[in-house]
Amino acid sequence: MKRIMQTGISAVILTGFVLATPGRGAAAEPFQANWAALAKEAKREGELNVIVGGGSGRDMSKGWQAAFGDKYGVKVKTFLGRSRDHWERIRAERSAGIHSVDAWVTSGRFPQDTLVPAGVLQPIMPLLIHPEILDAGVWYRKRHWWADDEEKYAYTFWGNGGFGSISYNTKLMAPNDIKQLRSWKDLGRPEFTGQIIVRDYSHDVFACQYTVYGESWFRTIWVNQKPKVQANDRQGAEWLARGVGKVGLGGVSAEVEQLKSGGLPVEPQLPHPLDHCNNLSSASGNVVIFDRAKNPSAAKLFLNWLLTKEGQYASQKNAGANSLRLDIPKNNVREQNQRLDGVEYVFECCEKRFKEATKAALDLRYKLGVEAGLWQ
Amino acid sequence: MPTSDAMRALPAIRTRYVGAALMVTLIITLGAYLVGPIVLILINSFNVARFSEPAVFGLENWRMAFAQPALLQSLWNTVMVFWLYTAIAFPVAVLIAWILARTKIPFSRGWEMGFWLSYMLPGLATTIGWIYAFDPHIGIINDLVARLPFIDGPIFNIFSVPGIVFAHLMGNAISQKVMLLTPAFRNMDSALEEAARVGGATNLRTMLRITLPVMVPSMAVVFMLNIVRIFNSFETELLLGVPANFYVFSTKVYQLARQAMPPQPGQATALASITMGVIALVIPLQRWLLSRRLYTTVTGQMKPALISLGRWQSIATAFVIFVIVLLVPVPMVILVLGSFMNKVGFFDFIPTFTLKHWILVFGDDHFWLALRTTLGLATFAGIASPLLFSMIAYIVVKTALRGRVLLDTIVWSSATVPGLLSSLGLLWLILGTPFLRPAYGTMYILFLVVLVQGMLTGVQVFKTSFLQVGRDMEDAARVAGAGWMRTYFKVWLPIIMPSMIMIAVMNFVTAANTTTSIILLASRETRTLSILALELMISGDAAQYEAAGIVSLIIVTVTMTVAVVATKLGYDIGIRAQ
Repeated sequence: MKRIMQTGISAVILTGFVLATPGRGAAAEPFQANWAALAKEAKREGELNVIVGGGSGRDMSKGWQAAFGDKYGVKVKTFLGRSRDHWERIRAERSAGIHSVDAWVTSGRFPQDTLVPAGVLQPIMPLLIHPEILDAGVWYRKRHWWADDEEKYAYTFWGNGGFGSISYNTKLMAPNDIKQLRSWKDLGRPEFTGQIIVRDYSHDVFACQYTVYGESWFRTIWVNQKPKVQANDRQGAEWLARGVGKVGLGGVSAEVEQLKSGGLPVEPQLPHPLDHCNNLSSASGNVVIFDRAKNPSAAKLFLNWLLTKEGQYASQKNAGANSLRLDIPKNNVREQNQRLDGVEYVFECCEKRFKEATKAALDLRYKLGVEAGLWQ
Repeated sequence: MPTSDAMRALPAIRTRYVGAALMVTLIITLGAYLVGPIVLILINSFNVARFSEPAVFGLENWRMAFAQPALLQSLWNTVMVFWLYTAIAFPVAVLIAWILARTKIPFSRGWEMGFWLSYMLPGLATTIGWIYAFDPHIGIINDLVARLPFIDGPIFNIFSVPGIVFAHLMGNAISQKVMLLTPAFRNMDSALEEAARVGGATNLRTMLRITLPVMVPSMAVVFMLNIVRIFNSFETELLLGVPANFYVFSTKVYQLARQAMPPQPGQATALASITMGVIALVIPLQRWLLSRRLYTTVTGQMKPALISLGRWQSIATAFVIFVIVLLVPVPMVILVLGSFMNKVGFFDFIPTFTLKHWILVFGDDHFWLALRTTLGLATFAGIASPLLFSMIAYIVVKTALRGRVLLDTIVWSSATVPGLLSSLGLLWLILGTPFLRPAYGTMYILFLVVLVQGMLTGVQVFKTSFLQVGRDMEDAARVAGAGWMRTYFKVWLPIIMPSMIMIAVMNFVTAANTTTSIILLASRETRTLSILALELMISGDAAQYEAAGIVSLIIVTVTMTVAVVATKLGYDIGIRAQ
């Protein structure tokens, strides 16, 4: 009798425990309800204003109206052009009490250098409600990635693979030469003197190289090796194709890829990883949400949609970039952006150890460039 | 009961009050619109607080601006480049204007249109065209010449000081001066020249001793307009100078305003303040120059005849054609040919030619919207601006109204800071002015911007035109009972028609091509073709130069069509040579 009573009491307690614990079914109901309410409110707002910056932003945004806007009844207005022009306009508007923009999808440094210090953004995590996003296990290295130092405001969703951002001329670099290029330090060899095409100091960071190789590497490349400075990526790619230099450093790969498609003797990246600093690039894959957004519900809905499987697959599709989500097909990612198994990648924009080195690397490169007469 | 004397004085009193009211209105509105933005950005240059913090005033921006590395060197570079291309462009332009307007060169109007076409070609496209020709590594002309057995290396490096000077000459340096000077040369009484020839002077001596001295106001104004623009030009220097580590002053201003992370408009303004010093010198200088003597060339007895150069005529014609061939074909070929190439300059790209850029442009809804916007803005600017500028110029040089000097100073002040900074000040002014704010983001605000764009050039050109016209015709009209409006349309307009047409076309072109002055004010729905072209070049995984070139080509086609039609209309109304 006593045993029966103990069993019965245990069963009652156990049943109560099970009923009290929110299971998958119970949790899904509040989310669905929240999502529906959010979508309804976004539809009532009727529009979403997104600034799209960075090199691949335009391509990424092409499919947004069809995939997101039409689905949720929101008119997606994208604003292209120079980030700095947009920022001047936003500053002036906000000073006058006008809030016309909801979100900004851009490259990693701009939010950190400009938007975060200005205090115009709102933290991302409180806005994320979709269970597909919150599960960190679906993201690269099972974590969320951030482009800002506080890891609160600029959510990173792209990580394009690539071996060191080194493009090369296939006529000037014999297969054996390419095989022997195994380290960033190899660029200091005599055969690369005067043969390296670089971008100006406002592009690229090389924070990983600063951390791994120190200041001497910078002096080797930017002073001793007498690099040629390109005014823009297009010019750099054209110079590379014409044999002005053997290799090009930095993000000219998109331009180089286009020239390669036309039969010109260039490759956008090395065929093998380097010993260190195989950097993932977030390109334009960083999103921020403005505080006091004009359409806050549409902005929140868009943010969540963008980071879901559907949104990430769509963003991959038009830009050929590589989402940091691991649970979506990668068949629409460009070959050069694939992340390969077995390669030790670094993520300069978003790993804390490199964020601290970023400013030092930028300052050093600028100083050395002035010393070498590359820029003022 | 008013006396008969008082009754007779009423129209004069009414005229005086109307004149005064007009002057006050002009000074207040133009002063607020042109000077207000400059004051705003100047004040902001002393605010050293971060955005969203309360204002803190200090000199940090100014200290950092003038601590820029190699600043003095960049100032010297600016002056050097200016003098180099002006020393060539100015005499060449004067000579060409004289040939076109004063001699019996065949097809004069046609050759003049060639210089207009050169002016209309976007500066960026022209510079890029010459890069493709003279890049030391991949330039087409360098490549072809280097194949000759006795040539070793590139014959000309476009990324150099001579390259920058060359690009300016092939851009607007010559064509703009020809455009501005030719109408003034046309408004010349040939009686003066005939008297010189009767006295035994040769054509050359007549030109040097008679024609040019009479044209001093026009030439001086054109020269001074170029001086005040000396610190504004940056596109050519950015493209051609930076790869050679050659910086001019405007490049440094641009770097601070547009390339620094975050942008530093306060520091950029501090640097740009140097232009104010230049303006402060130019304003009294031009007033002194224009008030020294009479420069009347158009009177009731005016005889607008042309002179024959005899055996020199064919040489003069060949010279004009030679300059046009230098100025126009290369950028035009680059623009047209490039629009059909997969990659401009790459004849070994497979396939070399394609229509995909044309399809991209014409298939974009934004293009058609931008085309409508551009046509609307440019047409408005082309019609309204010359009327406004001529009225201001008339008030400044032909009336005795108080406030003329202040009005003239306000007009000159519009060139005090570069467009990329003044546009920021204008944005602040509009957002900070309650009755202007509703217009923000609409076409109306862009109308306002393009209306006064080119005001400095336009007003100065009309001033010199009015200075050329004697009082006798205006007095005759008044004696015959014509009021101001009738006199303006029946007497003034035909005389200044060449200048009207020229300013109308210039402003049409400026409005169609402008980006820096409207990029902060244009909304998504009011984007122009020039902004679209800029977005094509910078927003995308790879720069779409070819598509941007197509948009520029369309702008040129539209503006050229308008110019031809307007010129034909204008010349039918204006003074014609015998």
